[in-house]
Amino acid sequence: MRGAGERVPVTFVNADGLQLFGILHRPQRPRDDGTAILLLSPGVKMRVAPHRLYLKMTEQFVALGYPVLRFDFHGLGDADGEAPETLLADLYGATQVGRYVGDTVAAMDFMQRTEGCSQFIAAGLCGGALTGLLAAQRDTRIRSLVALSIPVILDGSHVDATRHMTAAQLQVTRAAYVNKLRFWRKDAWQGWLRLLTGRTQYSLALRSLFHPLAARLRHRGSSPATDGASPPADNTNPLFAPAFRTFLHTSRKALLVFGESDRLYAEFEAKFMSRHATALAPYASSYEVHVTKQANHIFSFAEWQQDALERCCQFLKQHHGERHPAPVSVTAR
Amino acid sequence: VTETPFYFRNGLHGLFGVLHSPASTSTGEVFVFCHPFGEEKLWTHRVFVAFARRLAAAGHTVLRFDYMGNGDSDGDFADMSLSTALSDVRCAIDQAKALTGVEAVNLVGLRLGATIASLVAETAPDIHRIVLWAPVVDGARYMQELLRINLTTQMAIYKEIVHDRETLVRLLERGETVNVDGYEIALPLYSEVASVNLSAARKQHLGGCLIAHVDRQERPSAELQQLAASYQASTLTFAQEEPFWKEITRWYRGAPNLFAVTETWLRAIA
Repeated sequence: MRGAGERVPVTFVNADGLQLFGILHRPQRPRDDGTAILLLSPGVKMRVAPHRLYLKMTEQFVALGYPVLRFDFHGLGDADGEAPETLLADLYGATQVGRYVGDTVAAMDFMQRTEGCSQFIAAGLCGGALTGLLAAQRDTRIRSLVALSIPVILDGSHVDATRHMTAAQLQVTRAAYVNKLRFWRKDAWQGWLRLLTGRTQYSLALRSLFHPLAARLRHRGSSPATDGASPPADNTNPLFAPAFRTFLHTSRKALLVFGESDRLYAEFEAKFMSRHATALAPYASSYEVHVTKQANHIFSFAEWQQDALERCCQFLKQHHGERHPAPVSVTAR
Repeated sequence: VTETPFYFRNGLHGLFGVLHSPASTSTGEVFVFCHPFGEEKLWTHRVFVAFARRLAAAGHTVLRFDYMGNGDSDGDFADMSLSTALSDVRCAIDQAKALTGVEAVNLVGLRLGATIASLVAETAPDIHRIVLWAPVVDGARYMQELLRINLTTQMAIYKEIVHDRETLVRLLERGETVNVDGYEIALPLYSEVASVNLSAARKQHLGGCLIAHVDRQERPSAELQQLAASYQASTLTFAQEEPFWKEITRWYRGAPNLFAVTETWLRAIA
């Protein structure tokens, strides 16, 4: 990593007395507005994130003059404590209902105490992005949110995600099944073998194959727009909409970046945007949704990362101004 | 038990490490951990942390660290090769010896990290015992598996293979990088790892060697048997665990069976 300023391993404790671990990056020429960026852990992949995405983000943000703290939530990475779940889906589910909000507040307290930072930009991928949003609901020191691949649904071993697929997801699944079973494909026998030997998920196959017919019979497409007051009937996270509305209502700014190929983008559109279009309309200038063409959930390819990170930096410049370097103290030799 | 995070230098790059030190009485045994490759490193991080903490609680000292271009260390992943990783492990061994005053250390490696540990032990006289968890024995096959990940991403995004495996290798040979799960692999890493056949030669390492076959079910592994036979003093054992270096349904914060067989072996030959 080049130009990411000084990096210092740090530890601090959360409200339960558990020691959290992070790397603090201090820019050579910091801004003078006391704003820092928290890179919130996406979960198991800790303060580094998939393919070291958080180091690449850090490099960009430090170049803009922001101190950046990327740290591990309790029970993950090098932090103390345990995440007690035995299944990943349940760990993701616990993250989605705010398990790590307290750790995020502890990180802000640490940065305020030691670095003098009084306002924050919460940034992160997936569960980290959602943790930032939920933390912002509790703590107004978070002024902006930079969210990559933010989930609007709840995971968990008790949730059958295939039962709650969006129309777009069912169409893609249907196309994949149909394609695999075409007789003229050279490898079609593999698809048929899986189908006939019980290795196909029949409920999903039937639901996707008959989805167009079922949709016509029910005379409905996507779920109708609502005011968000009623609890969702599917696997949508009930905490998401109220947190997002609170965030916008308190004049804060959000950038939501998705990969075009990420199922989370389809879920965001179908299970949040379309349902809350009316409620969101007055806040159109407070948030932006940016979609990186073709990109997947973790922005694997370099061009996807470049597109997403460029947009993140533009957002920061737009809403937090260009660099305001603090005066450099001159020491007499 | 104390955990001290710090950076140490190998040439131009700072390497990130965590030193786990025992609380009171030390056994004098020092372990350096060699992490696996790419996303495998991230999936297994907590298992490494958990095992380091167990060893430290038992009175041992452990140094975990990240190779250049990996984790929290400096450098770009695309500049990593097998040579740079071997150099980094060598540097970490020297660091551990300097910090603790011991003359020889033990290595613990997982997957490609186990392969690296085995290779380092062949040239270093200051390695006492080595623990190889699910080592990558056939480097060429491993690199093919990584290229397959690129193909899978292409299929998921473009619904077709735009660059087949042969084209990807040609791109590498032309000096370009190939993306595997977001990591840019360059030719040095590809060619150096692909040339590794860990069981081919008779080993020079005279200390103890534990080779752990990690699998859901116990079944013979010819390549691990061959690897074990290439050592002068080795133990091949089985640990029933999920392949926790991949994305699986279970959340692996420890590998109790693998830890147990390793600790039993360490006690037995202490």
